[in-house]
Amino acid sequence: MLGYSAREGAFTKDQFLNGRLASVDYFPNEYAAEYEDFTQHNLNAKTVTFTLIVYEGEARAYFTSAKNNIIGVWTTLPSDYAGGMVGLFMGAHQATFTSIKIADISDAATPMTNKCKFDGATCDTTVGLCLGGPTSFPTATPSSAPTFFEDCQDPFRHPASEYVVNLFVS
Amino acid sequence: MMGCMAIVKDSFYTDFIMEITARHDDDDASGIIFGMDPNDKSMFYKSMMNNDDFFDTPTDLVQGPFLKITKKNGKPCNGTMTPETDCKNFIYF
Repeated sequence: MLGYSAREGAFTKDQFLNGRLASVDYFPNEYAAEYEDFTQHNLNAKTVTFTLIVYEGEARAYFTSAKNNIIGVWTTLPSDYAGGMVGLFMGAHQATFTSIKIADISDAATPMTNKCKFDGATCDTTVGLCLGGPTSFPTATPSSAPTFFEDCQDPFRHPASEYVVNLFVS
Repeated sequence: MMGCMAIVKDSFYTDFIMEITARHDDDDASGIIFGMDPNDKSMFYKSMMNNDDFFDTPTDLVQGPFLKITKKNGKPCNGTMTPETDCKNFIYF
């Protein structure tokens, strides 16, 4: 899971050090101290995992610092936000991006539904659980490849595409 | 700061989670582009983290270090932008 359980509630706005929907014209000095953890990540070839969640007109962007603090922003997007293409941005030297994961959490997304049926269970969408299934490991090797159908929806799992892109700019 | 972008081809996301592991050799910015208009790729949102304390006079008045979300507004980006001519709308930091 990429840090957003059941689409809400995984993080409260109190955990975001600069709060939510603050309205200030200048970057206040007191915020600078809160961003101190930010210095942990990208100096001297250190790495950071950066997460962006966009859901129902809100955007949350954050990383977890070396001190295990959530450093992030949480805001409402403009009403004309309509989605689109996604990608990487860099304005730094020798940036390298790895382990890039994208999970579609829209209602129209094709859920990763086959695992429940593949495991021989029955997906009960009313409770979001896989029920039944094998109680022991098979004793013989199947003579043919298994088949399965994507007709069981697990509301808590979605397909994730993974890409690896390296950008080198000097 | 314009920087470089690498965009996922032929995929479109409205509600999504994107996670990256980033490393670079200085304290400048990196992040995630989203909401890019496939018909006008100059229009997009940018979420970026930056550890540098630049600029002395940022056009959106938010000096680094920051974690910021912006939206391109269609105005040309150049080295002489002012808050009135900034090519992006500041969303949040």
